[in-house]
Amino acid sequence: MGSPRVSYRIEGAFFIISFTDPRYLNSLSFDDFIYISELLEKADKDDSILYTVFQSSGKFFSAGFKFDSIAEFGEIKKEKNPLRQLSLLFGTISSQNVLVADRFLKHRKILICCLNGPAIGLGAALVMLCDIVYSMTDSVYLLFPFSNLAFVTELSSSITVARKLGHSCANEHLMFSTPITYNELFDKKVIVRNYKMDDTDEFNKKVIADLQKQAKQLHPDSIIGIKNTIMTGEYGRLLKLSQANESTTTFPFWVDGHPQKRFQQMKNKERRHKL
Amino acid sequence: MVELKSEDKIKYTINGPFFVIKLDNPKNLNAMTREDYLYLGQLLEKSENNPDVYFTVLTSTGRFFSSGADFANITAKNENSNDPELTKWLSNFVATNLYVTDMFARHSKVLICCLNGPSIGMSAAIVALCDIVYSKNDLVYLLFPFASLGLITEGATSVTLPRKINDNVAYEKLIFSQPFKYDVLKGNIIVKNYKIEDTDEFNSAVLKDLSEKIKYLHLPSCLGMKNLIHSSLRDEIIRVNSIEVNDALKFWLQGEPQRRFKQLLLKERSHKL
Repeated sequence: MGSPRVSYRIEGAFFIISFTDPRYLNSLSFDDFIYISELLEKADKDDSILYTVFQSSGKFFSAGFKFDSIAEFGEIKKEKNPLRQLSLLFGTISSQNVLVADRFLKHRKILICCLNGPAIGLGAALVMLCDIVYSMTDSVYLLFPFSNLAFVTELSSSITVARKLGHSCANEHLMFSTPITYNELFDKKVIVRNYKMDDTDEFNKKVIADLQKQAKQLHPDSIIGIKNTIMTGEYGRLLKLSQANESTTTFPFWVDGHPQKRFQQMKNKERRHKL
Repeated sequence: MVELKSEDKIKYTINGPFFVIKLDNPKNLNAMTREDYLYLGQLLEKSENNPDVYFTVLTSTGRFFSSGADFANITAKNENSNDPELTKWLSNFVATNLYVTDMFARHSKVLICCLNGPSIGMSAAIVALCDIVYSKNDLVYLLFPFASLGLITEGATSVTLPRKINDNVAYEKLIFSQPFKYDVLKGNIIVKNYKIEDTDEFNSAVLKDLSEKIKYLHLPSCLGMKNLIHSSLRDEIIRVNSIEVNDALKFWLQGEPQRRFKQLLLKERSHKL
């Protein structure tokens, strides 16, 4: 099992998941997200791991959903049995919200994101699910273009964005598909530190080196224990609720077929993200 | 060294609607023993039961608000007792923390903290449990060295810090035992910086301002609003408090915190600042 766009390696207490497709701005397919959730499971079960770190390559952290994956919906449409077709569609759409979001929620290790550049859609949702985010420069941004693409918040972003940015700002950015700039991410302390670097590989190495230094002398069980108590609070419960809410809210949009059409338009460059 | 009683280290006065508690052991940076924390809880109860009181104000003396648990006291508790480990830590840790945190969570009076300096550990958790915090200057900080002491979040900090400050910052500072400095606390926990040098002057300035502020207020409205605003946070604190202490008990039974507190006492380990 694997993906040409996602790889992982283990360095001591760090389980590092890397996006390795800079040519396509690290856009990811549905299957890639399933693979990420499998890697989370792997990191979670490994007792020597305390930190799960997301890193990327090139200019973008992740441009989000891979437009080529839109072909999957063509395959689903070919299914003659309408009930079977509905079931396949539900499996594809709900997988991020139910399986992937749940594995983020249940992940016991500290989730750290090395944000080298912009992240869009599900890629941006992944950043918001991380416990700690470091940025490479001040030109990073997050974009949730769900209203432009004709569906709704997925991968728990209805909770993470509102909780971490405040309700008013979350509504503004989610309703109108406007980017969340570095300034806002830093002011609201989603990004806890800006490394002010140019090169993604160097940035990734520097973050790991800093983390190794900071992690020295800490009691490993305390780290897992602190996260566990934090997640038993309100935030964990809201994330859990969001999985069913988001899946059932987004599904009718995909049944109507608008998101598929708009992704096709994006692929044909007839529609653009608002930046 | 003569062991001071809690009553000598923590004083209180009632001044109209204000129940003013003062940590008064500046020589020892207002470090607190288990008995001191229990006594603090009892003072809260005293304030709670006084119908003339509407505000409970925490003040301190000297450079530090409170440097947290007294290392010597913990080490003595560990070494001078023949109780089985479970009994020892149920009483020294679980019951104390559960009680004190619960007293703060359920306190119906408006809790005000005059933060004159740094606060550490359980004492920092108490600052985060207050409804309003004023700071003396921008040198104050809160440090929760749980990960470096072999403990986990206590005093409901797993609820108060993500909720009052921010999830990502709370994770970074808690996981890596880094201080929450003034710039992170302002606007979230600290509502006003008095920029005053002297602690006594600062305390008087805050109390004078408070007396001024409440002049034309209907004080039962203040308690009614506190009750409404605090209700969801209170429920969350009460629920998570028991999870925190019972999760932490395992760490005490394994002995890691005792080892690390002793290293602090012998100066073989220091807080990361």
